[in-house]
Amino acid sequence: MEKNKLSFLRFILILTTILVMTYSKKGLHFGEPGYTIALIYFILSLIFSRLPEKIINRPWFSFLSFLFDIIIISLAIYLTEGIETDFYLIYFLAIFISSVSQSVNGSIFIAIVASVVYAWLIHREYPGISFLDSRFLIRIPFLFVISLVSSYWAESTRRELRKKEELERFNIELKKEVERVTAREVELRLYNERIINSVASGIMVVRKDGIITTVNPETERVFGYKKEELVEYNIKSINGIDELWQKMEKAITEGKPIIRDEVEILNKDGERIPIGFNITLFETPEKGVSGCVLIFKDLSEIRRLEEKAKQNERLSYLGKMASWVAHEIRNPLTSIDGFAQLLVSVDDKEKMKNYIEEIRKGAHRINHIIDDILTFARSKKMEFKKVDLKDLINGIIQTIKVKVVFEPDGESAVQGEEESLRRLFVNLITNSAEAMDENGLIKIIFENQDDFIITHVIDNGKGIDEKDLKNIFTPFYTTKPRGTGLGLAIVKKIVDDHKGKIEIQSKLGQGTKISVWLPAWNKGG
Amino acid sequence: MKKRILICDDEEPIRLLLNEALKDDYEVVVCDNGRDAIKYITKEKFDLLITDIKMPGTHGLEVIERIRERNKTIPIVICSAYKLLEDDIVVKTSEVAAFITKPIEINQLRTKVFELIGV
Repeated sequence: MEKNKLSFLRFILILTTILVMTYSKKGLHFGEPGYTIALIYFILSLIFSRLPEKIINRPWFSFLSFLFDIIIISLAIYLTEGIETDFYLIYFLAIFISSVSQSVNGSIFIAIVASVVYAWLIHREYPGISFLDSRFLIRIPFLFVISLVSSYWAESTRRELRKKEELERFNIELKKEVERVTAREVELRLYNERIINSVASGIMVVRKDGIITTVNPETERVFGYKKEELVEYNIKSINGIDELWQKMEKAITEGKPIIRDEVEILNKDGERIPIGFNITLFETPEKGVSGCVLIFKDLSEIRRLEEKAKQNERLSYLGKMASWVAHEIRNPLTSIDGFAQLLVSVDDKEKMKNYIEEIRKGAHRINHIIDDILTFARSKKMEFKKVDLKDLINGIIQTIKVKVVFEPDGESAVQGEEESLRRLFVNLITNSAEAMDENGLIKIIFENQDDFIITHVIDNGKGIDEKDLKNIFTPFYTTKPRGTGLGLAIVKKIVDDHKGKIEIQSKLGQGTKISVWLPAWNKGG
Repeated sequence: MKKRILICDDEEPIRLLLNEALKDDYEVVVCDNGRDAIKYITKEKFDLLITDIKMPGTHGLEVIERIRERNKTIPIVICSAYKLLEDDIVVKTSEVAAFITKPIEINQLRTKVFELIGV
């Protein structure tokens, strides 16, 4: 019970006691024992009320203080000879106060003490009084009844109060927990937002119906629109990204993500921006696929650099080509010009014939060089027909001086342009042949793999060192003093034109294996 | 006795041409690489060397340096398609007697050879 309430009740008790003493048969007079008792009672109670709540609320302390009340009241009754008056009613008040402020056991004990003291007082006043007297039979049981009823009432009130307090505490805890969770959620949302905003790639989340739900700053930059112009708007209403939406729609309807694709969009200013992107599905266990997430990279800068590199490469090729053409053509030109000069002053018919022959050889050589340049520089579309590599290679190896092992079996027809393919294999096989001495051996094997025919040209020549292997397809790069530097570049060009693939494995002193993938001829065309 | 000229060029038509142009007045020996040229110069006596500088086996001016190690006096004529190199070579190697660029003026070649070694 609260300290103030208890003190208040106790003072009522004191006042009542003093009042009853004042109006008792003997009355309260200064200097008499009753007066002293009343004064002590008042002062002690005043001291009690000033004690800290912690002590006041201790069960032993409240028990002792109520015991003290009973003793004082009994003393007052005794000293004021009020046994025959209604003084005993103060016991009820004392027991009532005791039972509302302590446990049932404590208040019953106080009731017992009060009964015993009261009974003793009566007995002392009227020795030989019967226990069946109304003073015993009615008043004492009443003390117990009051004690029981009031303490039960107080106990249940206390219980209610405790429950209420607990409920309040629980409510406060709950409120705190809700606040904590909300704060955490806000923090988490901010955290996620920060991640999305700091990603260097563009991010856009789009619902199944085309409504954009999330964009990040990179998306704003690349698309040229502000967040407010994108979020909550339908992607179909934004100009220049129709193709991108088609891809998203396809991913959503087919339920398949799109990985590493490229598309061009128009930004707000109408500029074309190439983007490389992934589209993944946005799905939840409850709703399934509800949209998609687009993650993209602006490729403009990369494209610009690529274009620049290509241009540099073209210029570098042009320079190399000019010097190559000058050197390659000057030799046969020297021969043509020189023999023509000799021809002027020669009479011998046989000599004349020889000189003319040399002049023609020079012309042929120049023609061959021009062919090489044209093959390398050509970008016209080829018309592919069925070409049987078995026949083609058989034709080539007839003219080669080195020993060739070629025992083809199985499919060997590819889709290609015969002249180009002949040039490809002539270059490859003569290249191998030139890398060998008289013990040289070339082996040519076919292999079928998926929709490709692979031709392996294997020689036991001197091999190619690592540095040269890297540059093997670079135009005008040659390790042979008399090579033009275009042979393998042309091979690569022809393979690329046929959408094939070429690989070279080589070890110095052991030989070289060149593998060429060409698309197999399928009967359907 | 005819004076002897060694011709070294990796291109067969050029060897043939130089041989045809000079064989009436000189004894001409031909080879197609720098290594062979060095061997010839070491073993035999020649009055003049006409050589290309881009050939198999040896690189650029290396041939000239190595020939000079073996023969300090023989006049060397470079015959090359690389016109731009002319000045460089003359400056770097005072060892070179003349530089003839391709295509070759036969008369100019004959005059130059005559100036250097006579007949």
